[in-house]
Amino acid sequence: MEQHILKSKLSVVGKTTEDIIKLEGLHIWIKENHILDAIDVNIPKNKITCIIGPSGSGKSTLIRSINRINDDVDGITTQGNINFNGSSILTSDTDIASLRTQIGMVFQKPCVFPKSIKENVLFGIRHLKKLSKIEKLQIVEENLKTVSLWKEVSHRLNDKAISLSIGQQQRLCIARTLAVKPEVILLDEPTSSLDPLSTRAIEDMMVKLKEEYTIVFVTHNIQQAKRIADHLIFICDGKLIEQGNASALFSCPQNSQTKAYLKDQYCAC
Amino acid sequence: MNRQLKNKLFTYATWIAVILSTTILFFLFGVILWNGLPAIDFNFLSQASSNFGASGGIIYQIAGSVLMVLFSALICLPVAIGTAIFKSEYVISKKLHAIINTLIYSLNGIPSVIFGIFGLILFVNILGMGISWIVGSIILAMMILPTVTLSTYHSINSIPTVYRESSLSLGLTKWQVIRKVLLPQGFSGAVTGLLIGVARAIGETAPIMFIATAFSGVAFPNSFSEPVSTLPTHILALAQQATNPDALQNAWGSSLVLVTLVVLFSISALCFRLKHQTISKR
Ligand SMILES: Nc1ncnc2c1ncn2[C@@H]1O[C@H](COP(=O)(O)OP(=O)(O)OP(=O)(O)O)[C@@H](O)[C@H]1O
Ligand SMILES: [Mg+2]
Repeated sequence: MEQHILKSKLSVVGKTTEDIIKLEGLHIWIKENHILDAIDVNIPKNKITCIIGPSGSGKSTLIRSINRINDDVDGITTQGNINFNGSSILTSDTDIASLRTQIGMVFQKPCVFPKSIKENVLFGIRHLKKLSKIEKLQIVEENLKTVSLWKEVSHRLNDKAISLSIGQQQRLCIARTLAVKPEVILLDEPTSSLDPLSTRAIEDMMVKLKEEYTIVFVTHNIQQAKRIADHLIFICDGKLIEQGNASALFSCPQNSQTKAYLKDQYCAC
Repeated sequence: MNRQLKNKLFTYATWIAVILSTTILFFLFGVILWNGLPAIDFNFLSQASSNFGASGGIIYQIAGSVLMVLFSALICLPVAIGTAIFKSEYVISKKLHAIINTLIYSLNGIPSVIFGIFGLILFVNILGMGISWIVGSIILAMMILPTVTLSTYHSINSIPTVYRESSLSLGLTKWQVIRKVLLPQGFSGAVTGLLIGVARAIGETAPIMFIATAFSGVAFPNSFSEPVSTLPTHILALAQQATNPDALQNAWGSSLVLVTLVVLFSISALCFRLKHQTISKR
C-alpha cells in the first residue's frame, strides 16, 4: 500500500502536475456512524478525477466535504484536513461562500430555479458582482456555448428553464456553475438521471473542460470512469482502497478488492 | 355480517356525513341570504348607521372591519415570516422544533376572549393606549400569527434541499439564499395563511369588543388611537335590540355582508394557493 502511494506520487512528479486539493486523514462521523475513515487522497490540477465505489460507500459524503456543503448536515463531525491551493479549508475562519465560488458543484438531479434560462445561467454570478446588460449577455452566451446548449436555446433565452429536457437542464446547471468561474468543479453522479446521449455529451464536455478546470466526478458507472478519468479514487465502506493514475489502475490494479470491483462491480468489504 | 355488506354500509355512512355537513352549510347560507338580502341596497352599503343601527347603513362598520384586519395582516406578516424562517432554516435540534410547535399550537388554542382581556389589561390599562382600533389590530395579529406562521413555514420547508444546496454552492450566503430562493417561494404560503387568518379575524367579536370598538357614533378614524365600529360588534349590538324588527333586519343584512367578506377571503386564499404551486411540488 505504502509502496503504491509512493509510486503514484512519483508518477505525478513525472508528469509535473500539481495537486490542487489534498485530503489528509479525513474522518467524518454522522451522529454515531463512522462514514469516512482516514481518507488520504490528492486531486491533480486540470485533470478529471473520478471517484468510484459501491452505493453507500461514502462517495457523496467525500465530495460534499470538499466545498463544505456537508456542514449543514445534522450531527456531522469532521476530523483531519483538506488543503486547497496549499491552505486548509476546514478552519473556522474559512470564508465558505467565497470558497464555494472557487469550488463549484453540480448535483445528481438537475436543479433549475423557477426562472428563465438566462436568469438561471446568471443566478450565481449576479449575486457576486454587479453586471451590465452587455456583460450579462456575454456571460450567458459564452457559458451556454461551452455546454453546447447555445444552438438549442439561443432563440428562447427568456423561456422558463423548466421547459428544457432533463439533459438540457443538467447542462444548464453546469453552465450556471461555470459562470461563477471556479477553479474546481465537483460533480456528484451528474449523469445518473440522464439518457445515454446526454450522458455522452456531458462526458465529452468534461474532457474539454479539464483544460481550464479541475474536475472531480463521482460515478457508479465503471465504464464511464474508464472513458473520462485521468485519476481514479476507489473507496469502499468509507475507506480508501486505492487511488492513482486511471489507465494504470484499470490495466493492473494493485489491490485485489479493486480488481474485483473493476471486473464485476462487486466489493467484499 | 359479510364483508361486502359492511363495505357498502360504510360507503353509505360517509355519504350521509357529507350530505349532512353540506346541508348544514347551505341551510346556514340560505337563511342568511333569505333574511339578509331584503336589508341590502345601495344606501345600506353606503350610509352611516343611525338610530343605534336600526336605520341607516353600515359603511363605517365595513370600513372599520377591513381597516382593522388589514393592519393586523401588516403587523402579523413580518413576525410570521421571521419565525417561519428561523424554524425552517436555523433550528436543527428536534427538541427545539417540538418546543416551538407546542408554543405555536398553544397560542392557537387560546380562547379569543382571553386575547381581549389581555389587550384590555396590557395595551389599554397598563400602556394607556386607550380604546383604539390599532390595539384591536395588534390583538388580531397575535391571534392569526400561528396560522400565518405555520402556513409560511410549510411552504418554505417543503422546498427541496437541493435548491438550497445548489444556491449555496454557487457562492451565495445563507442570507442570500433565504432572500432570493426561499422567500419568493415561501411568500405564497405566507399570503395564503394571511388570507385564511384574515377571514377568521374579520369575524371575531370577543377580542376586540373591549379594546377597539364603540357601538355607535363612530365614523372613519382620523388617527391610530380612535375606536371604530366593526361588523361583528355591530351585529352583536343589533341582536340585543331584537324586538325592533328594523334592527333585526339590519342585523341579518350586516351578517350577510360579513359572511360575504369571509367567503371572499377564503376563496382568494384557495385561488392563491392553486395559482402558486411552486417548485416545491416538483
Ligand atoms: N444525512 C445523513 N444522515 C445519516 N447518514 C447519512 C447521511 N448522509 C449519508 N449517510 C450515510 O453515509 C453513508 C455514505 O453515504 P453516501 O451518500 O456518501 O454514499 P454514496 O457512496 O454517495 O452512495 P450512492 O452511490 O448510493 O450515492 C451511507 O451509509 C449513508 O447512509
Ligand atoms: Mg451519492
